[in-house]
Amino acid sequence: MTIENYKRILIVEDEPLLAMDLEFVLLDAGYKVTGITGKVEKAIQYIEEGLCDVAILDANLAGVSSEPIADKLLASNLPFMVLSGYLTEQLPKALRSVPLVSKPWQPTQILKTLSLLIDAQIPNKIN
Amino acid sequence: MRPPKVHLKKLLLTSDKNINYDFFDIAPIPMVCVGLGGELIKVNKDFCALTGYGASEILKMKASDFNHVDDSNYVRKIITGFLQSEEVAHQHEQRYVQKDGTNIWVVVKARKIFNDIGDNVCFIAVVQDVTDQKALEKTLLESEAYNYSIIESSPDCLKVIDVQGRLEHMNANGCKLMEIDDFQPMKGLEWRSLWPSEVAEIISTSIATARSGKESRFEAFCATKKGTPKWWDVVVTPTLDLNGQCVRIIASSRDITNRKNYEEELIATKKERQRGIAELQMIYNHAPIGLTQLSRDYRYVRINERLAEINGVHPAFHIGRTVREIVPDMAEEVEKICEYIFETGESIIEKEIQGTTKLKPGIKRIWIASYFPMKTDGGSVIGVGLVVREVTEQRGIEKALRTSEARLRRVFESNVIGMIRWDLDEGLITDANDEFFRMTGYTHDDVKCGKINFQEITPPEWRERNTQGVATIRKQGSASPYEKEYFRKDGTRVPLIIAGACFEDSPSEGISIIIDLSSQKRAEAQLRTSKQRLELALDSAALGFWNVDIEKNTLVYNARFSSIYNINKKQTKLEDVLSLIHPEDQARVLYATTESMRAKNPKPYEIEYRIKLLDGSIRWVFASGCVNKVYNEEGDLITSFDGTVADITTRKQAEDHIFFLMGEINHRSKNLLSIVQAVARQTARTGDPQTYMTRLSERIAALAANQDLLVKNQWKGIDLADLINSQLSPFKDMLGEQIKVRGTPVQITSAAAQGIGLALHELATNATKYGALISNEGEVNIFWEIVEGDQPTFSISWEEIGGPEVQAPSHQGFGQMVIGPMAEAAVDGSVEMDYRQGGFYWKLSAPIKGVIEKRSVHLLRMDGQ
Repeated sequence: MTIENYKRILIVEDEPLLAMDLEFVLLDAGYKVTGITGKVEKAIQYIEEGLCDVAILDANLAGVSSEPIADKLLASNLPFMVLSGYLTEQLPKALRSVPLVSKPWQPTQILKTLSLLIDAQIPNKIN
Repeated sequence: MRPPKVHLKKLLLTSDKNINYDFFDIAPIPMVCVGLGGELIKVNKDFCALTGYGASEILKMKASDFNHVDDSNYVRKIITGFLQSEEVAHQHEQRYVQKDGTNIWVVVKARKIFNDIGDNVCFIAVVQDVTDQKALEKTLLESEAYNYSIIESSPDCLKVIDVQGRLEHMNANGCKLMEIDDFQPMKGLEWRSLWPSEVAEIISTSIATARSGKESRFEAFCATKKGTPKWWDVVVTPTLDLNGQCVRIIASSRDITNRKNYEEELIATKKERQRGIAELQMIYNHAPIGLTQLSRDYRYVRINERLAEINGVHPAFHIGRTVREIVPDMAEEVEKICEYIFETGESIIEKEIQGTTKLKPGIKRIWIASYFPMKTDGGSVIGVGLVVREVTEQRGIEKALRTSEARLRRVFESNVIGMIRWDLDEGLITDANDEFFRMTGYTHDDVKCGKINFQEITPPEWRERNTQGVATIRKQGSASPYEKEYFRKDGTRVPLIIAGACFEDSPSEGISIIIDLSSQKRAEAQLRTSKQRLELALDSAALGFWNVDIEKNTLVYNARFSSIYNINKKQTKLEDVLSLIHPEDQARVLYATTESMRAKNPKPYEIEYRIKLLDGSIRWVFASGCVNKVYNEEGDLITSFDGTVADITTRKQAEDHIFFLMGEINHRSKNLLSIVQAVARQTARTGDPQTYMTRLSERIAALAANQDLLVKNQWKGIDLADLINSQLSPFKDMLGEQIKVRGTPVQITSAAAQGIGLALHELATNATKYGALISNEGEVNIFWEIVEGDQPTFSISWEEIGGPEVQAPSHQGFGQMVIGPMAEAAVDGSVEMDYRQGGFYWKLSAPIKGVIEKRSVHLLRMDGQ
């Protein structure tokens, strides 16, 4: 287990089943999941309280765009990735500049992207 | 010069022996008095001059002494005849021999002289020298003979016509040409009577022209005597006498039938060819496919309007420019293909090409292009011809449907999802569900016997893709969905979409989910039909009419047009109308209308564009128009430019909405796939691998049941009772008996439905395996309610009674997660669980916000108070 695995991860996903599935994948890989939420206000609260180092963001939270969360993350200089069934072009601007893993996802994709984000300490721009 | 008649009359009146001969000497003409024996009685000096003899010697001579030897017999005979006859006067021509031997021609006019008793005593003759006339006459005769010989030798039809226009002669060749066997009966006929009536006037004119001394020429049609149709080139020439008077007319007709026929044929051929070329040109220009010809250096040699339109550049602007200048995006590919054709001389048929043009910059479009070599007679390739047709729209629909995975949703709705379990090392399908068997026609027995090799039931063209999929699974543990086909047992094919994943503990084994795509085709056809119907309905919508007053540069229109454009005036300056068009569309509209109005080659146009109303809102319109030639009130032919406009905003919105829905469907189906994947993954984490397939199938069925309800209610909330009925449908015999359901009608949100639905499925499964439903003894009570208060709360409980003793499970399986944390997360609430003496108890409570979509009418009213 390397130091990066201690990173605290925030899961923003409105579908409980998917959130849980993702949580298991992350836990199995040795990460720490500090929060799971499907609500914009809750997610922003987590970020503001400094409870997370990296975030995994579903683009659409039961019909609500997660763009404000992305804005907050960018402003806080926290790395994050986006999970979505939408195509890049369909996403709001703030979500286009970070890595996108499209649904349905594979655990390997998530973990690879996550370690890239942490390794490179690339807070936002990845093409 | 005529002799002075007066004197002669006087003389004759005094017919006496004592004739007064005084007038002999004063008469300016040779005169002689001759006795009946031929002796000369008296001569005047003109006669002496005529004969060359002196007055004294001449009276000793006889009249016959002057006669030319060849004429003397003739003269004697006619004089004798004259004297013996009752005739008083006589005239003849003869030759005289002058004293010096010169022959001259004379006209002798004689008159008998009688005495008082009526005896003829002598006669007086006037002798006129006509040698010069004779010579002239002879020349004339000779020249006429010459003329006739020319006339006869001419290959044309030559006619001699008198000044009255009557035929005198026709040469032999002429008779042959006119197919006249005998000219004689035609002699004296009017020339014009030979011609058809419509030409007769020309003939009369040409005769009149000839009479006035001038030549004329014309071409006319006239059948021969025997009716052969012929064309003639006719020259009508007057023959003039010394005084310039027309004495005869020569008409020369040349048979030009062959030339005329040839000319007519030529004109007909030329017209035919021109029409052919015009037709080809029209087809070339207006063909609904793009056509162009490129030179060896990739320059446009010619291009039709359709392709120019595709390229978004005026046709004339293409000529001489390179592909790279006009469509830089696609130049490289086009050049590469052209190069190949220049090298090989072979055609490239139906090749797809993608890119952008100036017509819709930035929008990627797709065409099918065929390229063929343009060869010289020698066979060398001098250029490449291109036939281009756009398929962006078709592809768009196909692609949208393909990517949307709308079919996936449909599959879930109808609960048709095939599943197989496989062994990569053996290459075999080791287990499969009924849906797979339905799809493929294989049976359980086939699987048991190890008969189904997944590579073998894959048609050859899909095997490579299949191998890739297997490799991906071996490498990454799973493979994303892709399309392929399987052979059915009966040899036919079934189109399907397949995705697979291996078991973590046994990587060479795993499962694939298979969806039957056969119904896809029907769905596409339905989509098309409904779209066509929409268009038909729009066609019948009211249209605005407009007309351009070109002189005033003004648009005139009807009330519908005003309402579409939202303008009050009855007419508007063209530029003001243009300013109403959306700025992004103005150039397009201007191009289309200018092209349409082009004086040389006007053609109808059709265009869709946006107008920006004064209140800032956008309206889509469909306009069409064309240039017409019409008569105005004054009866002048004028150019009119008019057309129609229709408000298609609704249609556009519908299209946008369809597009939006496709995106939504895509998103939802992917979400659903993610859920299926999560369920599959989590089911695999715990439990007996041997029952994996059953457990997963059941859970997917539970998901599908939820999905059914969501779709039925258009994602707007689900009736909780429906949800329970649906999730417990495998146990529906027990409903109302062993399972009792109570609660006020309530609509819950789709998110809550998902969580509660899956939890109910797990609860029921557990109850039949370990709990109250294991036998007929036990009972389950499902009850829900909303407790009003400061914070209204929703709760639903599952209570098992009379079952066997239950214990909390030793480990947290997927089922535990579903009824526990997941259910809590779905409604943002809390779960209470109790493994009681009489049976398991479960209760989920949550604030109604986020759970309740709509309460019963009764409760709504209470809220309203």
